[in-house]
Amino acid sequence: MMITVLLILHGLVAVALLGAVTHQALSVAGAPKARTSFVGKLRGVSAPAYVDAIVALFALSFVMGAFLYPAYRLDVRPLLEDMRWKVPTGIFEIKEHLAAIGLGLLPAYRSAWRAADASPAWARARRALTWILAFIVWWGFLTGHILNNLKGLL
Amino acid sequence: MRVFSIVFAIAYVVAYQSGWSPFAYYPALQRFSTAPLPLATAGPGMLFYGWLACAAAAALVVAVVVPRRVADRIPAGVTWLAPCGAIAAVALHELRWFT
Repeated sequence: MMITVLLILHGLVAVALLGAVTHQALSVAGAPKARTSFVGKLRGVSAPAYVDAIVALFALSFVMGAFLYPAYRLDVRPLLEDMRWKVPTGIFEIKEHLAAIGLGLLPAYRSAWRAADASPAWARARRALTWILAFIVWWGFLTGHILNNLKGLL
Repeated sequence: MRVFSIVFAIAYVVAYQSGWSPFAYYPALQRFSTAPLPLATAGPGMLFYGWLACAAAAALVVAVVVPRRVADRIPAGVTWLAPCGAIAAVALHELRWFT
C-alpha cells in the first residue's frame, strides 16, 4: 500500500518536473517568439524562474525513486527476466544511471543559471545543461510509465 | 559547484562500469552490507546506492580541495561536456540489452 502511494506521489512530482523542465528547455531553444500562438506561449516563459523549482523537484523525485527502487528490484525485474524482456530491463538500467548523472549535474546547472556571466560560452552551457536535464527527465518519465504498464500486464 | 558536478559524473561512471561499490543493499533482507552476501539466502544485491555514495564522496573531496580561483578558470563547456560524456559511456555500456 505504501509503495503504491509513494509511486503515485513520485509520478505527480515527475509530471510537475516534466512540465517545468520542458518549458525551460523550449524557452532557451532559440530566438524568443511572440506570445501569440500556443508554441509562442509555451516557449515565452522566464527560464531563470524555473531553476530552483527544477532542482527541488528533481531532488525530491530522485529520493522517492530511490525508496521505490528496492520494490522494483524484488517484484518487477525478476518478472522481466523470467519473460526474457531485455529491452525494458535495459531502458530501466539506463534510467537509473541517467538519474544519478542528473542528480550530480544539479549544482553545475544551478550555478550556471545563477552566474552573472553573460558570455556566449555560458549561455551555451546554460542551454546545454537544461537540455541534458530535460532529456534525463523525459527518459525517466517514459521509462517509468512503460515499466509500470508492463508490470500491470504481468 | 561546477567541480562537484564534473567529478561526480566521471566518478559515477568509473564506479558503475568497474562494478565496484563500497557496499550493497539487499532489499530482501532490508539491510546494507559491505561484504557480498550469497544470492540464495540474501537475494539480489543492489550496488546503486554504493555507486552514488562513491561518486558523491569523490566529488565532495575534489570540490573542497580545488581552490576557487582554479575552479573559476574551468571553461564553461566542460560543465556540460562531462555529463554528455558520462551519458555516452552509459549508452555504450548498456547496448548489451538491445542486441
